[in-house]
Amino acid sequence: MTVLTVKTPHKMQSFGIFLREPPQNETTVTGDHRNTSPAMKKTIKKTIITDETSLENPDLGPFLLKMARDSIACGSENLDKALDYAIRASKSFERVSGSGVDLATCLHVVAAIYSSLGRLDEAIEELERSILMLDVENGSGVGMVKFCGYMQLGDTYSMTGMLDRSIFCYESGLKIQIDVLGKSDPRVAETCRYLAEAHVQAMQFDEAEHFCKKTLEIHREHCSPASLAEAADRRLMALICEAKGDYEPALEHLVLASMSMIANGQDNEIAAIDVSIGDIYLSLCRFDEAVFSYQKALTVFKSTKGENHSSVALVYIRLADLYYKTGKLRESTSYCENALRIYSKPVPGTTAGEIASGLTEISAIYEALNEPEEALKLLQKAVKLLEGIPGQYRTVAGIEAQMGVMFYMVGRHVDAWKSFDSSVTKLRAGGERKSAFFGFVLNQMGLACVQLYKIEEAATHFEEAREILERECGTYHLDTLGVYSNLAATYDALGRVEDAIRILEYILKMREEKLGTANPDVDDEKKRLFELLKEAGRVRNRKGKSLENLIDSNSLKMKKEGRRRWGAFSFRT
Amino acid sequence: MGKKGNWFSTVKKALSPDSKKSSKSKKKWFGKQKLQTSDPCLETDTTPPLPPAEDIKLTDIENQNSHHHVAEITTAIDAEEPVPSVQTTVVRTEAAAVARFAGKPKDEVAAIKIQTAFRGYLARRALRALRGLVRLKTLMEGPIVKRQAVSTLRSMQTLARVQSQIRSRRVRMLEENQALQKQLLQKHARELETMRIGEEWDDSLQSREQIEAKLLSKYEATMRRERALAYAFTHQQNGKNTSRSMNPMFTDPTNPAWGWSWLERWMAARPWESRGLVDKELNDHSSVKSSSRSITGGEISKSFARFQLNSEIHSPAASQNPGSPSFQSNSAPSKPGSAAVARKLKKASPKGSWVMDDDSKSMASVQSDRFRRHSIAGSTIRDDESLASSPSVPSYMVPTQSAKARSRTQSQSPLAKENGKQEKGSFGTAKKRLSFPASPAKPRRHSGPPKVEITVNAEFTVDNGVTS
Repeated sequence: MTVLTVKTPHKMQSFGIFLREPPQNETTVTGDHRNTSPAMKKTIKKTIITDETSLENPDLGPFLLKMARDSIACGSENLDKALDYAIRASKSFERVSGSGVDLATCLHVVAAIYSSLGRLDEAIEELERSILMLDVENGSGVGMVKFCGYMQLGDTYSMTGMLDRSIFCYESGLKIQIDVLGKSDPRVAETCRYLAEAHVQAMQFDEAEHFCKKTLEIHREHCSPASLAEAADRRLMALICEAKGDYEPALEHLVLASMSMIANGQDNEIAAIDVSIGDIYLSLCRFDEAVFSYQKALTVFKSTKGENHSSVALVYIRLADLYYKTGKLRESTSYCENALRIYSKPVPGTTAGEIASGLTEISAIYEALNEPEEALKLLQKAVKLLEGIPGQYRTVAGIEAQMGVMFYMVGRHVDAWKSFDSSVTKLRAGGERKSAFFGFVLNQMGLACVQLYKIEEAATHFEEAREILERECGTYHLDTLGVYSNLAATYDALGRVEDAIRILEYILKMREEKLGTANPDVDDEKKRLFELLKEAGRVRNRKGKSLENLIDSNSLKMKKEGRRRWGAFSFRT
Repeated sequence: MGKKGNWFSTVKKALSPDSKKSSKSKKKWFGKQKLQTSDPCLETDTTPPLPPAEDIKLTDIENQNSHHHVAEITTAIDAEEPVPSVQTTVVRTEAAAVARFAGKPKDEVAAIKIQTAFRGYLARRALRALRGLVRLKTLMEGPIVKRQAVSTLRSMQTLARVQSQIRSRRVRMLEENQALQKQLLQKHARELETMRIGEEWDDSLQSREQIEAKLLSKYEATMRRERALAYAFTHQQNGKNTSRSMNPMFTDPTNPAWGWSWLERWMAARPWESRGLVDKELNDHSSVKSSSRSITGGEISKSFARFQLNSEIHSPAASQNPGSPSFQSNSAPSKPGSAAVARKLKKASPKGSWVMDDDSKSMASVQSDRFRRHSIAGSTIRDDESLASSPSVPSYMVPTQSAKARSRTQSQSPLAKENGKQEKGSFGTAKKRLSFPASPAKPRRHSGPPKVEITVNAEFTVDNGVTS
């Protein structure tokens, strides 16, 4: 590994150094923003007029709300003022009309301002209050407001990284909307698409596909063919298909979307779709077509957005990936460098999130090019960019997990463990419990623990990973079996031989009965089981027996023995 | 016997690496085992592997140690419930042992037997665990685990990619929706403003006096003004559309379920990024946006509406002047209608927002109020500043003379009327010019306050410059 790092081109390091300094724009933006707000707060206190009686004026609420909205429209300097207005307005509404649509709407505004100020907990509180106070039976207007509240609450939850809850909120909102508007309203389609996107983010592709199909159906009903709405749906559908590995349908959707974009003359959108089409071709190993698509998009982006725009960098990254896959490593590196150059001097308007995701993709290529150190540097950079930005917890957790795997591959197990720990903590805090992704991360963390001789901890991680994967992927899935095998080895090392034997027997049974024994892992697993059985059964069965005999004849006896052994071992735990 | 020797060597093999590795692997029973077998363990290690000698020594120790030790071990064995296999070993070794321990007391022999059996059990268990550890290690080095790591990495890279694509989708959608939202807000404000002017509502005189009177009464005045404005506001609302409740104000009228929600989403999703994106959207809403940094957004759109209205009303007056065929390109220093326009402007501008502005800036002095009251010079300067950040110039540039000049020339171009953004650009200058005639009444007064105002403006523009 060290040899490889020495091999790293000198140029690259200078880029690394370049990138180590965060782009000037971004930091000053946040710094400035933070600095102004306390000063604002001080002055705001003066303006708060705490004359409670005046709040009973029925005209005051609407007016204050309007003032709040005007302040919001002014930009983020005035958010504190807007918050002041909005809170006063909500008080006024509460006094005048009690809980109702007015107050609920006002609370939405308050929550919106809170969340733009980064005070998400308070925003959630206000939104929950607004939702709870409304009774849908009172009429469609109430339903709308409640729906808005749910959607906003969902957004706020997704900002805190709690995707499960946010999806639940969106679903509640959708239910209300369907109740009020009927099943095939175009507005329902919008919500469905939104929900589908949320599911994609949570890596729940089946649900995403379901909602996306619903959206497409509704749009087919209401819109003309080749409408922009349909194009947007199809692009999402393509994304889902691609993530699921169904490349042909994805390509079909993209081509259709591209056609409707051409009909509407949206050049930038066509280019963006071209990039996606290139991705699919790349996945299908149709490299020439992929290059053509990418180059087409690149030309458009360069002419419309400028040479140094982040979308140009994105195409560079894709080209680098393509050239890596076709074995042209020099081209690949040079495209990576070009992309890095763009990201190191971002044009105004580029967001930290864009740069971070670009860097993450470049790091994937460097990792593939066998330069894990460089890849790690880029990932660290990306994490630093995203630090402190709300709504990016999951992204950061994902990047940290990638870093963990890379550390593990390089052999820096302590760093790997730290990265995994931080990633898992973040994911847990975000309510992540049941995605296969989380299971993978846990499994990998268990492996890192084994490398650090934290066998007990490793076992708990493997157990959790097994539980998640059994639920998400099923018990026959190869990934699940991989976790089983790890767990068996860990139990073995912990002295729980009988458990290990039982798990290995299960794996082999699965392989023999369902998956076939052609997998190269099967031999290894057989060997391990044989060894274990030999050890456990050595005292009783001295005669050499074939593996099958061992499995058949000993399983019962061993279970008995195992139970007793369990009693013996139980005091330890 | 041969079996027994073999047995002891395994014990040794198990115990000697055990003492080294147990600290590393931190497994519980290793420590426990060491505790329990500490005395005999030392014995087995130090003594040569000749069974008779060891046995003698062991028995010596047994004698010295009294029965307490034996009891301890037996209880330990009870607790552990040795597995049948161990018991069978004991039975098997018994035959040999009986021969050897011929001359010894029965209980001693029993103790030795039990001890040996137990030690054997522990040793085998340790060995098994160690072997397990070795197997685990080989598995870790093996291709299966490597493959797992790679597939984990791939899946996470896919995840990152998919998520970033979704995020960019959302951003794009938000941009579109925000642009739409802005248009709607503007339209709405314009409608509102026409209503307001039509009504000829005027409470400004009274409140102005009050502000001038005293600082103390200022809050009260603000409240009153607020109330009055609120009243007017609701009236307009009612007059315009009685059926509609307050809320549509915050929602997109054509799509009430989505408008506010989208705006909110915009705000919620990207509070930290909104500035960066503002520049991207400068294309058509730029002047609104940039100037709204110095004046409240509602006001700018209102004044824009006002401007439109005024230009409609006063264009005949302007065309009286032969040098200026259109309102925008009017370069005459003063005209009969302009004073009236300025007056109108003053009257129409909502004082509430202005005063609140002052308070928040902690510049709430009588002087600055007076200054603001007497002319719109402040606002003209502001407009001038914000002009510099209008589309022709990137807003992150600190306004330079040339930029100002450019924007000025732009505003005087004959194309101004056709092009929306240039029209807006010209609006600032037009307003400035219009306000001029109103101020000469007290020319001295300006000299002090405008400076303050300029510094504030400078702050704003610097702010713009840094942030965008």
